[in-house]
Amino acid sequence: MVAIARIEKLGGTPVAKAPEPDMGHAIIPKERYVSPGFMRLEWERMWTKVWLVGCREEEIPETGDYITTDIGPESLLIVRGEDGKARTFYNVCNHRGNQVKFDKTGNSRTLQCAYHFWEYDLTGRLVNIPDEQDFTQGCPRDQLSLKTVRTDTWGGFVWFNLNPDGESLRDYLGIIPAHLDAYGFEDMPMVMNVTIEWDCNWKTSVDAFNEVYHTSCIHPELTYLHDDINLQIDLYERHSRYLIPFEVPSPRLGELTEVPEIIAADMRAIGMDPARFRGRVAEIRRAFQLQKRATADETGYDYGRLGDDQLSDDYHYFIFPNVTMNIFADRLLMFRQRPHESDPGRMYYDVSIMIRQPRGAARPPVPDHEHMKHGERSLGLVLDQDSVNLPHIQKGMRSSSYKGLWISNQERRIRHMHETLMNYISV
Amino acid sequence: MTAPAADIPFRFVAKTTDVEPGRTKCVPLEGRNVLVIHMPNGGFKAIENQCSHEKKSMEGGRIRAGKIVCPHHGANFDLETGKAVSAPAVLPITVYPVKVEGEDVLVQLIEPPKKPKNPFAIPGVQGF
Repeated sequence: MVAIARIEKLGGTPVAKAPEPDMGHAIIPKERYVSPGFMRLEWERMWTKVWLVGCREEEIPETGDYITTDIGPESLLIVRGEDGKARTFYNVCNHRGNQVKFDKTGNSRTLQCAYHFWEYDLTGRLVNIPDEQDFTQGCPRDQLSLKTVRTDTWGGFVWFNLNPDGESLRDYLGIIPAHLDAYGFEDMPMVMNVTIEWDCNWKTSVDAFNEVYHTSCIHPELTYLHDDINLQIDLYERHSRYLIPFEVPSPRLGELTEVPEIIAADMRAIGMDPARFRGRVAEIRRAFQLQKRATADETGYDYGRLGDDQLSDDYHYFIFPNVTMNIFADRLLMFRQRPHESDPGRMYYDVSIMIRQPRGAARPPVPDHEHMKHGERSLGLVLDQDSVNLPHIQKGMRSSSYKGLWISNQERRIRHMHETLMNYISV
Repeated sequence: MTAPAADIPFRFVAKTTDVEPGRTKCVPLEGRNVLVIHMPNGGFKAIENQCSHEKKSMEGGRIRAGKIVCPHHGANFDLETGKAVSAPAVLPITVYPVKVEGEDVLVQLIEPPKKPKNPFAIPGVQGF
């Protein structure tokens, strides 16, 4: 076989292997997936302490644009202010507790509650109370204005943190900006934004995308497209990644003598003729990278900050606790896994896709947000295959005979996620 | 199942006595591999002998309650519609229309259902 080369671009995404922490081999208790008590601890000690993705910046481009988004039992209102800044508020009117906005997105000059018309400006300050003189106790603005949530931006995403104190987004993200700024996510428009209700714990979904042990079992097609053996796993302070070589078949298949159709299609898409390729199948990946680099000027795509292997491979990042990024040169396929408001056996799976555009291309319109139940429509073969087992995992885990997750070395990103989670829970 | 196209002729594939009830037999025919299935309660079905999961042969797969069970990883397929009804398969298999004339089992070699060219592609979404 041809060895997998990892070529780093100076100033681009580092590829050095991170030191391996010693995490032991203990069973991961299943209670973390099924127990309402553990779910409460997660809410109190983790979800309310970490930075979370709220939306794309492009979802609220203009002054007064807003979206509402839920995390656990909370509804949040993210609004673009007159100063151009995105702000996040708890989505509740401090009069009688009505939600200030019910719709998913909209635009408002001010934020007016639909019940008694209490009105807040775009910074959340309470500016108008009908019949204010009738509140004989007074209406102190510092108490009754919208409650602000810490907000910042990175990568074209608006992030929020329910913890009023604590570290900045930059500190929380750690290595992430240095690793991923090279892709320029902020310049990649979103072309899909879907939420699916899944009957499993949010971590079951996180786990499903933090290992490739399952690939040859449930995605046999993909063994012809990527190497699921020679991938690099890096475990950082909170976050983790694997670097997955694409355009090269899995060593599980042995040495192939014919170009698999799935790779041939990718070659044709960038102007290579698979029939005329003179070399071993395992050498296609390198040729693919060189072709993509050589034709970048002609095709108008800017890969200037990406290393050669980033032109073929999936740089797969997990940002604790709930963001999964499949990052290719031309596409970011992102999953956000959100907990249900009360049931540890349910979750919300958000799928969005951001695409790189050639120079001068018009930005496509922001897609409507779709919300559906599991199985209502296909999400493509791979995600359909991924979702098949999830509800059954949740049911299986409830069995009194099952104790917890028995994790292999190639699944160690799951163990690492649990270590990080327990660092929050054990405080 | 794709509707039988009127202009696709029925072809002889096996004698009814070639396959015992509850058993299967693979017959190469015009570039296809037709798995002839003698249903346990009588009657015949025919499918393309390729599991939609790993493309393996389903010859010898158990026939239960109108379904065939792939002998390799246990995927179940409905023999009326071809639909995958259990993991690890997601995509349908090809079910060929069958008729029995006397002792002859005849099949119509219709086109297989379309498979996604790009397994990552999400219907209706650009960027793949």
